[in-house]
Amino acid sequence: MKKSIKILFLGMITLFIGTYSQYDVFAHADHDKDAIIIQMADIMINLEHFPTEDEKKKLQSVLDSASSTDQEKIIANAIMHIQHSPTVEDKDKLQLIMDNTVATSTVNTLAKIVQGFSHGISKTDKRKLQTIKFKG
Amino acid sequence: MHTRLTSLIFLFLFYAPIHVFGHGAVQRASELKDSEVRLFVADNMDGSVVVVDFPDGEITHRVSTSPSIMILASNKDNKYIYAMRGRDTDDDLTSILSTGFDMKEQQFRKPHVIRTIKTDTPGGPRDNKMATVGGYDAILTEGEAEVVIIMSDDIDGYSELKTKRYKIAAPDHYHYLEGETYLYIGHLFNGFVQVLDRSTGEEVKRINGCPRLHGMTEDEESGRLIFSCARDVIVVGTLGEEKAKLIARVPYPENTGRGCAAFLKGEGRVQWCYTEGIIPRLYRVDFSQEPYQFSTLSVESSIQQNSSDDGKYLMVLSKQGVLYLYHGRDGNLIKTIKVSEPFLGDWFEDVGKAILPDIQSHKGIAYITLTHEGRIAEIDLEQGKVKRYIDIGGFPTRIVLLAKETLVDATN
Repeated sequence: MKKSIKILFLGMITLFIGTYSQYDVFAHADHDKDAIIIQMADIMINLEHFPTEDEKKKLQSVLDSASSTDQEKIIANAIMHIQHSPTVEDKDKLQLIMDNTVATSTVNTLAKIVQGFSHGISKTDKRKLQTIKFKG
Repeated sequence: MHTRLTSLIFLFLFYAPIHVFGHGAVQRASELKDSEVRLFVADNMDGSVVVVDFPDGEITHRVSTSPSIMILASNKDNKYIYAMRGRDTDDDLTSILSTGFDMKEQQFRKPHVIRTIKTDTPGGPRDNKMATVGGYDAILTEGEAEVVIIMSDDIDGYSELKTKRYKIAAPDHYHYLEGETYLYIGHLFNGFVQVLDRSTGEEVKRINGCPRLHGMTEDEESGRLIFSCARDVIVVGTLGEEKAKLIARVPYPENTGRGCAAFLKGEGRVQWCYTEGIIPRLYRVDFSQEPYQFSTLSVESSIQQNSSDDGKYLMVLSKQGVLYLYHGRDGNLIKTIKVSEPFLGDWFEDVGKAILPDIQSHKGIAYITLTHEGRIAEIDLEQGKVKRYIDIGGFPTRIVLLAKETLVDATN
């Protein structure tokens, strides 16, 4: 019994090490490139004044999804409640995301664009959103 | 009465030519363009191939192909450009474009898509050139594990595309080159080089022991092929008695942690290689010095690298948007040129589509796609300065460069 447990334990360790060492092998694997951030960037690119019902449904699915991060939920909620600009409360929450993430990260960029939204998207922000869509 | 009738006939004859020739001849304008260099640039905003002619830097044409281009490559005689899709769609297509070069007039016309074919996870090109089998273009399908040889000398939209297929050992990610009589196919996941007979497609042998095989090059003088493995490279002969034999194993420098991914041909028989990911290091090997051994060159965190067409310069584009020019033989830093704003954030390219910038050069002029800025920088390497920027829009990535003189030489 003890021997079989030992074998099982060693087997699991071997499997773990083996899988870990495969990291580079999967360099050409398909990567999930922030699919939720890309989806929200896509909504923001064409947003005028407030989201449509269809866009609200997509944002609601982000809020309902177990795979969404807290930061993604805050951004989704902020976009959903945009009426020409985000609410003051949402702007504060977005500021917290910006303060706690790397300035060049996609989540930081998106949070900043949502926070600064006013009636429509500027040309500069549109390019940033397109870049998020392009490279994830 | 006669007078009236005659007048009517004259009136009819007077107006008739206008109606008869209503659909008459129009002046045909020539589309011939006497360019020195033509760039084909994959714009992965929408999957179009943007054609830019030099020296005037004019965007001549945009050819619409399927979105998500992963590979852009010219064929052996530069008659066609192949645009292969990445895997972020479920429809694997390869579009074959004309280069637009008019052999008779020895000038360029506007390119167009000749035909688009289904190919299961297409691959095979190396250094922006199509794979070949006995002089014919070939596509290696990584899903179906086949070498698809396009046997048609001329590809048009009417004729049947004649193909011959060789079976590869297993579906995988391949690194391929053609030898004197054999075909050498490196398998990434399976970790071996499969050798096929070129004329029959029969397997000759397998050279095992190359885990994570993820890159290859050739030393033209010796005919040897070099395959990158996890901890070393293997050197395989292709000529005479060396044919299909393992000649040497060359370990990477210690404590570097990464293997070669792509090789850049420097001056003489020196080659440089860079590793996967954005890390501050390149490897150097001189194939004129046996036993072969690697040394390292420290560089800024780099997003793209290439050597100039004459091997004189090693060009390293940093994430900060600075082009570092090193000597192509010894790696000494020659000059730096600021070409763009920094590439902010993560730029990780997977097999979905090409997202990284590209660098190509011809006769001392380099062309860099600044993917993040939607434009191309034209750089005078000798003077060390940006000559101009050409706005492409979208997200320009891969470049294929065709020089007129090369095309003219090939036709003569």
